[in-house]
Amino acid sequence: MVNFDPTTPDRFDKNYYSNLQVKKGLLQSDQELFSTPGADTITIVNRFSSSQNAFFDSFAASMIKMGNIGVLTGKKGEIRKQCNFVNAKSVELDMGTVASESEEGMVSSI
Amino acid sequence: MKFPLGRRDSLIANRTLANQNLPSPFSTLAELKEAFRRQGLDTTDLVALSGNNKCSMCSTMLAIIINGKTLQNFLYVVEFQVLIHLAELTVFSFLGDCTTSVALGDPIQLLTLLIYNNCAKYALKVDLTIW
Repeated sequence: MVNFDPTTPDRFDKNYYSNLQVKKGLLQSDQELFSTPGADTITIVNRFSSSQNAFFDSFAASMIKMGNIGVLTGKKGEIRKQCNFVNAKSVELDMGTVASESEEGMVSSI
Repeated sequence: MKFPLGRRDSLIANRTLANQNLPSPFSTLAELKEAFRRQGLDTTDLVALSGNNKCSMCSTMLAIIINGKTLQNFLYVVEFQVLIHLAELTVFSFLGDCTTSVALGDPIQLLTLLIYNNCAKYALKVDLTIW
């Protein structure tokens, strides 16, 4: 196994950033965040590395932003039976079925 | 009370578009920023979201076999310079297509490519006597 975080691979924590500070980013695109001379990302890496709360707060906000990119609702999208095939393809390949979904893309809460 | 279910999957799969929009593991910082910017995400988003990377390819198998003993997480067991020296000597003949576009002498590129291309399913065989 190769873990992107060699120090605490099974935990979601700020170690990704402290690893970058000691040049242990796994992918080139990871290490770029810290090792690009003069980059504005360096101070952000340092901030997240020194404060897990700062990382968690930013991560939550960024996940919400990312979750709102190009949202498909109702019949404009589908819930895939197999995440790596569109459903039309899954039917072709006889992938079986999943639980039915609400047509409106809405669900009633408790 | 009703609330939106949120994201659904696309009705189509578009390989070209996916490759256009996804940053590569070789992307420079400028390229990473641009890819995120096109999606409305700023530099802080880029850094924050990258922190979750560590689980995205956990299942990739990459093992180095040294004199018959398998080491895991070998990146951090051997020094990069030692590794690339070994890689030049042994990995290239071993993995064939998986390493064709790797720049010799750049260990990070080599490892990035091996992992990204799932070449890790091959074990890197290294003769300890070389190093």
